[in-house]
Amino acid sequence: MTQAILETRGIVKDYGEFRALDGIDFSLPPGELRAIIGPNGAGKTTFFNVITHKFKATGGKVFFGGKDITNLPSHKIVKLGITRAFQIISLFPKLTVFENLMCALLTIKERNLCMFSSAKGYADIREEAFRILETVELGTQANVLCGTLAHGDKKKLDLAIGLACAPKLLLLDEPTAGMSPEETESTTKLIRRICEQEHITILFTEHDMSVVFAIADNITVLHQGKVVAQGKPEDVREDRGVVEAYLGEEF
Amino acid sequence: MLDRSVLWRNRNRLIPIGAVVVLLFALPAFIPEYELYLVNTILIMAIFAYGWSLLFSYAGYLSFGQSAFYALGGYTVAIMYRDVTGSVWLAFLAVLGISAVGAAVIGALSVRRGRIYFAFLTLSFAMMIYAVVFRWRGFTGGDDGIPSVMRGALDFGLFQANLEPTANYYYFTLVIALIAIAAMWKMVNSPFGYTLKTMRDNMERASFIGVDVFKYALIAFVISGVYCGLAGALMVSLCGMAYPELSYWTVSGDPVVACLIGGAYTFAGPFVGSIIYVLVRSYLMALVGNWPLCLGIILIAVVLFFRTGIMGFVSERFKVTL
Amino acid sequence: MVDPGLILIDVLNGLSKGFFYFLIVSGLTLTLGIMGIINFAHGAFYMVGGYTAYTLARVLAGTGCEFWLAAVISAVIVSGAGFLVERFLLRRIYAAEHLYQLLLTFGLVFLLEGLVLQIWGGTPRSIFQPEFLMGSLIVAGRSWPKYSLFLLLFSAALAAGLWYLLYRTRLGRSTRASAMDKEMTRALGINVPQVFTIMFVIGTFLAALAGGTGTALRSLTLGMGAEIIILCFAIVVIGGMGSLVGALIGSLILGMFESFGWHYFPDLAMMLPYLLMTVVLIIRPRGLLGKE
Repeated sequence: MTQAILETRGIVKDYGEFRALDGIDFSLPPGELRAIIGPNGAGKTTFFNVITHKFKATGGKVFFGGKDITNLPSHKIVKLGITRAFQIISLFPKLTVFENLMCALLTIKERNLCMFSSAKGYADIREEAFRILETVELGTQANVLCGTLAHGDKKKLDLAIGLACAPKLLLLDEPTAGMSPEETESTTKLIRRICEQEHITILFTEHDMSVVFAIADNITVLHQGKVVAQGKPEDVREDRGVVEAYLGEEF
Repeated sequence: MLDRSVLWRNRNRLIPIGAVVVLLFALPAFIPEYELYLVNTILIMAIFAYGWSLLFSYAGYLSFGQSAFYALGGYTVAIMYRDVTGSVWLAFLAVLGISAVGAAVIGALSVRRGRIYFAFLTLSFAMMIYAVVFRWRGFTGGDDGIPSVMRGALDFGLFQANLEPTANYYYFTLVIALIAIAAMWKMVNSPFGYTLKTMRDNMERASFIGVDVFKYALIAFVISGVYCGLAGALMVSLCGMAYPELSYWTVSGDPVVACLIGGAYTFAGPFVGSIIYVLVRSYLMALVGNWPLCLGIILIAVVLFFRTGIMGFVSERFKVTL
Repeated sequence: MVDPGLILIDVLNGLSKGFFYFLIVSGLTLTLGIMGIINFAHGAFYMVGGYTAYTLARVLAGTGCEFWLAAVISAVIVSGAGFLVERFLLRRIYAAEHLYQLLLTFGLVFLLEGLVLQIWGGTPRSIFQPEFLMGSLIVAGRSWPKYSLFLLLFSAALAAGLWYLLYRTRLGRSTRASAMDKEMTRALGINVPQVFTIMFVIGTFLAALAGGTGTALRSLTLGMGAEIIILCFAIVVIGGMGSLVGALIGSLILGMFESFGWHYFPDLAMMLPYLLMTVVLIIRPRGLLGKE
């Protein structure tokens, strides 16, 4: 039994009186493509925030590859190999598409302290950046200030920056939100490709069920801060608890 | 098709820059002493402005307290000359060292707390230093300050130069300023510079690509402190006097205004802004005699109507990056 | 031996200074609390209030009540100027980045200082000293200036008036609502920009009034505005940004520290407000009662 790449035990997150996460036990084997679904407010983004230490967990522990990362600062967690893309797009608006990737690559290669070399002068970083841009089909926009990109392209760039950090585990928060059907389809295929070819474990949240059923190996369902179901897509579909949680929603 | 033009480097830019440098070196030959003094002041203001600009335009941290390092540098050089040595080398080495240490201490205490609190903290530190310098008669001369600060003498063994003559001190400042500005150019285009830019654009995302934002903010703060300290030392040596008001918070406004006028988000902005600021100040003062009024009007006008500054305007108009 | 009489005098002085500072800071806190604007120029209004009262007192000399008339009329004039500033300058940058808001008010500091320089020149002036405020009282065997008592009572009375305005009037309720949630208040049909303009004018009025009444024993100088605004910032930091009660507590703390400080540690006293501000920002940035 290979060790889980990500494991949480009893994660609790309180915002004052409100308990957003209520004892989450979660385990993710390496190389898997897992979806986390649940109605709005179920705690999916909060879960991501706690794993990546954007917010501190009120209780419980997070383990990455067996190592306790519960209290590590975000930037150290990234260096260990977990990156995320955000639900609300989070980029570096005054930099170009290329520069966004370049910065991620410079950081992952520990070159941030170089003060007297030209940032754009590293051939290995240039090649890697262009390779990633090709993968997400943003190659033609390398020089564009990313603040001016179309929404779908911004989402792709967000994903690309995540890839640039050479992660072992990638957390994607609603990767196809706001995209047109064509973009959704290509992004969905891209996510599957990344998981298989780059051997990156991917954990993503989604509201679009067609995406989930198209590519997820397994699904975890959250409701009101608790895991209510987990398993293969076909099994989850039939689960009573899941149907109840989504009562009133299109399924 | 991949767009590989990211590597566009404008070799043509070197020609006008080279011309300006040559002009600057040739100036003492054909302009009178008072005007040379002014240009000297411009160069010093530029160093001060670049110091502030690194922190703000590239790292996104607004500081209203860089006057603290300006004063620290100025008093260091005055006290070094008064009590320790006549050597320019040692004095300026002390300036760099003390500015760096001061900035490291203040920075370590200030950068962790979020940007608005950071602005207030730098302000309060500057005023604390003002108050300490004001009352510490025995060491700093109190509210009288330290008069008759000399310009020192350079001693390279074979090459010696007394820096008292205006032209000599001007060359001294010019060389230092050119090195400082060139170093700044290198820094802002380096991986370090881009790291700062990520922090400026999106602090959260910066830490999510693995950047330890507090560490880099501190480093930027120290570099900024050194630049501002250097400017202060050069100024005090130039005008011959160190006084507590160097640390008063309104002095922190000088580099801010210069950068705003010149264009806060362009590289040439601080330099162009310093030129205009110093020239306008001296000529308007001679003409009208009421500098606060003029400064107030200019500042308000720029904030309301010319926010991107001169170089910002030129950038947009001619679609170049400066 | 500790002398209780001296300590009492120091406490009274502290209270006097404290309430006086509150008179000035209250306006700044209102501006910060509702609109989130840090108004560097607030100290300059205090200064202009003092200078204007100076001139008015000379103009009205001999009428018998020139002290009050000068102070109040000056405050009216300066708050009128405050209205113009808010309506035609500040309003234009509410939506802009913080830096530009700060820089605009920073520019105003210089503008107002320049105006004072133009009209009154650079030499310090001393303001009119009314008869009834001169002399001392005997408190616990020690003498205490009547003027300090006056400032204490006057400032405390105005503070009470401000409390009444904020907690017992409709305008006050609208103000507090705007400070809590601008959007919601606007949605309820309250004209938030107008509320803010009114509060800005009131705050400026109080600052100018403080300038006109509080400087009888001090000289008026060009640097007054820049000096007082930093003390105001220290108070706002200590008490908590945007909290009026915090501003009162902060003012009293600062007043006490100054009073005891200048008495027992004169060399450190100048540094004390800034040291306090620094310590608070490092240890507990949101101050005593701050929200963020």
